[in-house]
Amino acid sequence: MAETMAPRPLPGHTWYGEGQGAFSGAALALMRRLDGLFLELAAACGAEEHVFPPFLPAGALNRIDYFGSFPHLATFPVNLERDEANLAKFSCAAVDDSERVRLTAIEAPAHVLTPSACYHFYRLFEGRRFDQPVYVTTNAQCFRREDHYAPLERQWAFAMREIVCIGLAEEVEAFLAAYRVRVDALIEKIGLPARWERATDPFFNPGSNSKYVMQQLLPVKHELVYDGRLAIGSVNFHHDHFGRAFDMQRAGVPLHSGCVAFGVERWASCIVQQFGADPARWP
Amino acid sequence: MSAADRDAVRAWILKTVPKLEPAQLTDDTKILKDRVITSLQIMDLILFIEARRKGSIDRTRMKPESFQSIRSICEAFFGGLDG
Repeated sequence: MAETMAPRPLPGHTWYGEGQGAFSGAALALMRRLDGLFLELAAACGAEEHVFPPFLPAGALNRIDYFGSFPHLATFPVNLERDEANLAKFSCAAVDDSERVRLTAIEAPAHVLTPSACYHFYRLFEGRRFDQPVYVTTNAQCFRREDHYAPLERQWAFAMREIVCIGLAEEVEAFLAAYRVRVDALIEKIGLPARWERATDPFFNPGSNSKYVMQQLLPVKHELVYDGRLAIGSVNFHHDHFGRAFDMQRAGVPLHSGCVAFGVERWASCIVQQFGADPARWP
Repeated sequence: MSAADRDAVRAWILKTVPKLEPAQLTDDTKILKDRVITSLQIMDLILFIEARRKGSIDRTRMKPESFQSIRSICEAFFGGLDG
């Protein structure tokens, strides 16, 4: 797997070279401080905070055609079949010389490691009937398999803070517009050179994927791009895609949804690229 | 010819979206923004346009403004309504 190094390492971040790393000292404090800023943004709309487990049911993601759109990103928790003979066979030679696990018979996975934080809310609110817009937030460890990784900037496992609105179309559009303004104020306060750009999600085989084509023709995603190269956040309008798939309604009408997402490690990378490795110089 | 293209695009939309009343569909109806055409139908619309104009459309370089209405489709792919 190809590896590329970030231009400037973050003190206190230990990169394991496998798409994930550890946070200690100044790096950990920075991650917590950044998430605190995002929580302050979430408080502006009264978003209620939630904490979710790492797995989502494969059936829930299948309903939104996740595996058709993003099969290349999915990571699955895999279990051995529990019969004694299978476990005994596995235990004799579990790991080979290249430190790869030699699986014997496995159960068909029924779960997926969280690929995006906001999916948990649609599962949580499935079948609900609301009489007003819902504002919620979570910081979830997300997992996306990639063909290469880079410290803080492209990780297999990373922290994503999301603020989500589920409501009528005009309520969600107003929410997203307000958050673009709030995020603009935040980056100006911090002093990060970042700007909004139209974007699409990283679909598999995009030319033949109708959702990718629709995203091109009816822009629903804007990314906040740092230094012209790194997306550190996004605002996303889902229309009633999740409202229909998860039967969330108000007055008999499928609800719309939208989210504001922050890649916390990427923000940490921006801080060190922009202000240097000395925490005393960080804003 | 352009009127025939316009009528063909209009007929395709009405056939694809049977619940849509003909009176609701004008040359300027926002067929994507107003969700007349869904993401499941957009590929079929592109295939229809390609077949009618006998030329392919690059799926990765499409302009949003080209697909917003019957008028914009005719202007982008069939030389406009008046031409």
